[in-house]
Amino acid sequence: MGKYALWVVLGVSFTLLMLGRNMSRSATDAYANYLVYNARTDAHNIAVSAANTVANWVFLDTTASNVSYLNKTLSNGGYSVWSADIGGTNRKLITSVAWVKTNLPTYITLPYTGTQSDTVKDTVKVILQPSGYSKYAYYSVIEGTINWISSDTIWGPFHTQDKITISGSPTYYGKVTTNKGKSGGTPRFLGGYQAGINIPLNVKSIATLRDVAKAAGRYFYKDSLRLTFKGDSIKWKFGTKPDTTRLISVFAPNGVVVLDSNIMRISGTMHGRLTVASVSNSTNMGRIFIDDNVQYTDDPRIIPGAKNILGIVATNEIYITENSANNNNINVHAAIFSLNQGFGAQNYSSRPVSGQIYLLGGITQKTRLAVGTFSGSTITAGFGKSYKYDTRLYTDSPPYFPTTGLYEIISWLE
Amino acid sequence: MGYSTILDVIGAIIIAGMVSLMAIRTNGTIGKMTYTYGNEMTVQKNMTTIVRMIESDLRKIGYCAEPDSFCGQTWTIRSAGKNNITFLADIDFDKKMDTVKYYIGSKDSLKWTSNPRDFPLYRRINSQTPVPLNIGLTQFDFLFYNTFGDSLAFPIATDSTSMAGSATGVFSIRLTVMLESPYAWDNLYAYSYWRQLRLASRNLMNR
Repeated sequence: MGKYALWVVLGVSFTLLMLGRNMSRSATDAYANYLVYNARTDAHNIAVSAANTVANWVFLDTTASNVSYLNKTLSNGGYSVWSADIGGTNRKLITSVAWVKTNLPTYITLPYTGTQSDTVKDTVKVILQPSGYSKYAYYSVIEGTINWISSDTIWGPFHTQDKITISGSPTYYGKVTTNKGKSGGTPRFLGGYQAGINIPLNVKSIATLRDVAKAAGRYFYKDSLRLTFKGDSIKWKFGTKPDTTRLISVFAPNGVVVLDSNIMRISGTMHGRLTVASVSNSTNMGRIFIDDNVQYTDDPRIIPGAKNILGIVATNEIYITENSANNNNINVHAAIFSLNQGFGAQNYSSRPVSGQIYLLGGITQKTRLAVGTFSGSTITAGFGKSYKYDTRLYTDSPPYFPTTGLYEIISWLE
Repeated sequence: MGYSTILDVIGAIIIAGMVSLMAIRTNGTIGKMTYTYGNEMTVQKNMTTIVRMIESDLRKIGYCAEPDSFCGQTWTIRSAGKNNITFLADIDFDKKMDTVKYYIGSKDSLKWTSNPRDFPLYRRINSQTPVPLNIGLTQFDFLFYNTFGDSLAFPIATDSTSMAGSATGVFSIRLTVMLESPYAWDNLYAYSYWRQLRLASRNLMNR
């Protein structure tokens, strides 16, 4: 009888052994699950850190060649990160791969993947491209005493190298960046806000335009120039020479027209891709006067996919001329850039009440110039403003429009 | 058959009885431990599964495989509520933005579980049939922050005057998730708790 008791004991012991093993297995699997999740989180953080490092390197030194850091260690894992040009574009791709050992035996199957490994990996990919001023709905170096007020609504990216002064609650739909922060008010930054961002005006971009125009555009020197846009053609009068009309594509094959050291006047309806620039080393020259409406044949707000795009670039002021044509509203369709001054109305305080400036595009300027005077909400001289951002400028820009010389992130995949 | 045999029988009966009593008492404990450990492991694995899926989706807010085809970062998050979020992301990398929506169902829709607190989580891509996730979810709470890191009070206003949707001003997200086992032992449910303090898609601050 004793031996049967022994069998009972052995049987019970075996059963308890198996049950204990299963319980231990549950505990082990739960712990392995935690280890894998923790390792995966670490790998992700390492990959993001490495990607940030190289992105910052690209941002700070845009002229350097591509970089790679392979098989480096960080924290309890490692990473490889490299940058490469994206063929056929001026963009760069940063790829960051990180890995962390889970310290699990390799016979344990990793969840999610079903593979057997003791290492988890994570990948981050970032695309950067050169940043152009044309993307800004509003850019300024000097804000001065300008206040942004509750009735102001700004669409598109906004940057100032100064401090933005706010009174009330203006609404900004695009991303807002400033170099010196902000003061006052309760702004609505629906597109985001970052302070301490330094994006100076790139003086070299003007010099580049001269070379580009001489190479395959149209370059004028030392006399006045009047341009009248006529659809896909352009009529020009240089100095005292007679008017001449050509197709834009023939007049300036690369889309760049530069007048050096004098005054340019523009007007008309354009169908094409063009940048007109008035440049000068003198403060009396390098100006552009808008003598009448400057607008697109195909309004992109009405015709999706409209291709016409215009850039107006000047070393100094870009004025709306005081004349009879401009005394009852004016349309300006363009990305505007003024290196040393800004965009404003000629004789803004003494000219008659002239209606509204209907701008479709964006303005980049050193300092904000006045377009009119007001008493309360009533215009007493000059213009009121109705500025709309051309959303195509997020991804498109006029030919050889000035660039910041910096890179910006346009895509982040993690 | 003598006294020794009777003693053997009595001894065997006593030993067998003691062992049987031990086995019976242990059985209950083992059953409880096995059930509890198994529940906890299941809840843990469910938690890591759902968290991985949600984090992967939320990190893609505003992402498009073709960057130039979508630049409306301001209007990426279409709606944001305490238990739901709708946003745009190129989830399938086909260079077209998809509308992704996470929302919870009612507790009554999971009557087949003994846990009275659990409810399903739904994930919907575009106009596809929502996929329910019945994994014992008992808490799924969002808290949203603006660009300054200030929390936004519910209901979060959507600015419908924008070009292609609604701007919410949301820039980072806090998500709290709790899972419980669908069945309990002695009214004790295994549970797992997870919170992501700040999750911000980097694509919301592009360009």
